[in-house]
Amino acid sequence: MLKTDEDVLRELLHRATDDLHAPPAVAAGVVTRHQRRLRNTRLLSIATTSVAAAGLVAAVVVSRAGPAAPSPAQHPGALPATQLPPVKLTAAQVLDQLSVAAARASEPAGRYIALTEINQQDLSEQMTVFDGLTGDIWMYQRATVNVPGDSMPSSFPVLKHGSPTRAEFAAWPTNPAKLRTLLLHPDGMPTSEAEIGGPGVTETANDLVFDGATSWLWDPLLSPALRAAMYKVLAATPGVEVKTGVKDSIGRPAIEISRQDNVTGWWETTFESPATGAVLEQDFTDVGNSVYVSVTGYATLPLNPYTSH
Amino acid sequence: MDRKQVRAFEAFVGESGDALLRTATLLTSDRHAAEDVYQETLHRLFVRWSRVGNPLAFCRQVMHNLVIDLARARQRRPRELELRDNYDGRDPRSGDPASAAELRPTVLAALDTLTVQQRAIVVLRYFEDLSQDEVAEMLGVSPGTVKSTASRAVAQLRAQPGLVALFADAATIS
Repeated sequence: MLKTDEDVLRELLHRATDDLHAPPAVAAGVVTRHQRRLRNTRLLSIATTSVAAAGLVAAVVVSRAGPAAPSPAQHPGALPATQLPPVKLTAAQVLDQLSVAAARASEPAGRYIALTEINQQDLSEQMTVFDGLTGDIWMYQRATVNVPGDSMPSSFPVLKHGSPTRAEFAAWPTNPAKLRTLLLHPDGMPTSEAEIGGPGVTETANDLVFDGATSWLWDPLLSPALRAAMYKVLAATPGVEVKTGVKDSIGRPAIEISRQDNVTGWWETTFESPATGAVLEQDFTDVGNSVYVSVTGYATLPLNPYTSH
Repeated sequence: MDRKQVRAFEAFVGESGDALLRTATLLTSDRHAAEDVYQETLHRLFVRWSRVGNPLAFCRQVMHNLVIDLARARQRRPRELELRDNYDGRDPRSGDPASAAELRPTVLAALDTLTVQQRAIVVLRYFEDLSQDEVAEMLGVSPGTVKSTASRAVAQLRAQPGLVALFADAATIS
């Protein structure tokens, strides 16, 4: 019996690859890397070490903690601040204000942006470098290892296109409704609001939106306009709770945004700078353990950190 | 993701990892690129594990998207010298015909002459054994396009210098 060309091709394709086996370590590596990436992407934040940002934060502290001295610009007939009726903003209003602050913030210049952060649990330091042109991510870390025989690698393999590039982010919609839709379509896979919550699916649309928005807010390649839009999306997401006048774990004034995940029951928390909308800290919860990671600085790098020049 | 889900993910990779890596190799025609695609695909799957109904279909779709991205990136870059796993253009029958390592460079070189879409259709139809309708749905084209593209791609592969003899020999085996 003659074989068809299709049969021959089918056989050739299988014969040409049947000795290829996936290294078992890849799956474990993906899990480990993802957890580390989460620690770097959901829990960390853009720091506020630039002079301008520090000045803005200081101004916020003064306005909150300072005495009720009337401002020079205050209207002559206005009541002193201490006699004004307290105004309680809703969570949505606070997030709208945060959106305005984020839109006004300046975007880090330069192709390479380095985030440095500290894990509040084990005090390990990490630096994550983003390539705004390719989206590649490099990670380096330093820690004191107290357990004999234990070790921590000082760096990790480059994560190719670990982040959207600046150009790709620029194509994202800044309309909150459209952005919410995008957050529900990871990698272009069709996921409508109606499909989520169906049989076998465990997360609600609002879970996904909160998770997505807080994850992307960490990315330093996000433009101010897109960051502002993310806060507007959060403002319209049910279940989001906001606390003002709080501080992150290293004492910086912050706005705390949290939401309880519908499936795990865990509270996901992130701390944002009220002055710039930058993420200061995120609470990384994994299998019941909670870790706070604070960003301590960011800088632009002139060269590709992966290759020597 | 809890420990139970992590174990389920690892079990899926243990069961399907080899097949995924082989598909990635055929889609990219490049072992190293295939390993990158395979790893990135697993990463994306892991991130969305709890909300992916059909992991295998998800992986196929992601791999296809990644291969398109790779192809676009290559188009933007100057052509590089390609070293293709010791392929020297000789008739692969001169070595051990049963050896995948001998046959692979020839097959990958032939696949590399196809367009990204042709290659995807060939791999999905004849390696993954998906139906025309399934391939059409995944790639967002009509079944007729799948059929005609596959037909032209097979003819093109059959005419490749390294594969002509293999097709002729295999077709006469009863």
